Amino acid sequence: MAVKIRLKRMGAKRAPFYRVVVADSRFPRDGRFIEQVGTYNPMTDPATCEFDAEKIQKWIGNGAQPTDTVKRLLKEKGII
Amino acid sequence: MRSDKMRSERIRERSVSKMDRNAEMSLLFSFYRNMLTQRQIDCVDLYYNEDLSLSEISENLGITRQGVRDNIKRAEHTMTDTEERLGLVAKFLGISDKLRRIDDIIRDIEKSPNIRYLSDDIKRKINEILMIIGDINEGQSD
Repeated sequence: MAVKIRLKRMGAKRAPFYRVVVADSRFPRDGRFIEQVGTYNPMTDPATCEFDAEKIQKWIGNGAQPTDTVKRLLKEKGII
Repeated sequence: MRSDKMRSERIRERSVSKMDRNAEMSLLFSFYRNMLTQRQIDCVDLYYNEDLSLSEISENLGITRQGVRDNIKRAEHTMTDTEERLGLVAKFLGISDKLRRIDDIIRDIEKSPNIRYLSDDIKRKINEILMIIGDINEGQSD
């Protein structure tokens, strides 16, 4: 079972705000995820994000794949 | 293709600077989803709101990867085109900015030592204004 690290949109209708979550690559209908490892807010200028670097590195070490978007954010923060 | 890019560049300029493309599409989608077909809505939602890859969406919806791609491209085109004509997102972002300023000013007033000279009625009204600003930002007014 492949595990991915992806963004998941939360927040109000008009204010995009994302959780960074670890989730099964087969997207479950009910939107369940395994663990939250960060947040990303693109509406601030500049965009702000927070990560639990330790957890993320542990997940990646165990074979979790970040999506391109998440990978970009992690690189910006120097986590990977 | 080129004019699409120019259009989305212009939206970015008018809205939050350097806003992420995903966030921009997500925002356009929350305003204009009713302009799209159900299939386009499904594809765009999974792509931009759930960050799934084209092949993951293809597996989920049981259509080809190319089909997913076409649906997303067409949807993006419809949404940027609609924004170009109506400009609701740009307008909303402009209003949000001004609301934030009103909010800041009111919070300054609340912090001022002179606040104790104000009547309870006025304080209640100040509170009410803050709540209305919150409602507008949450998009509950529509």
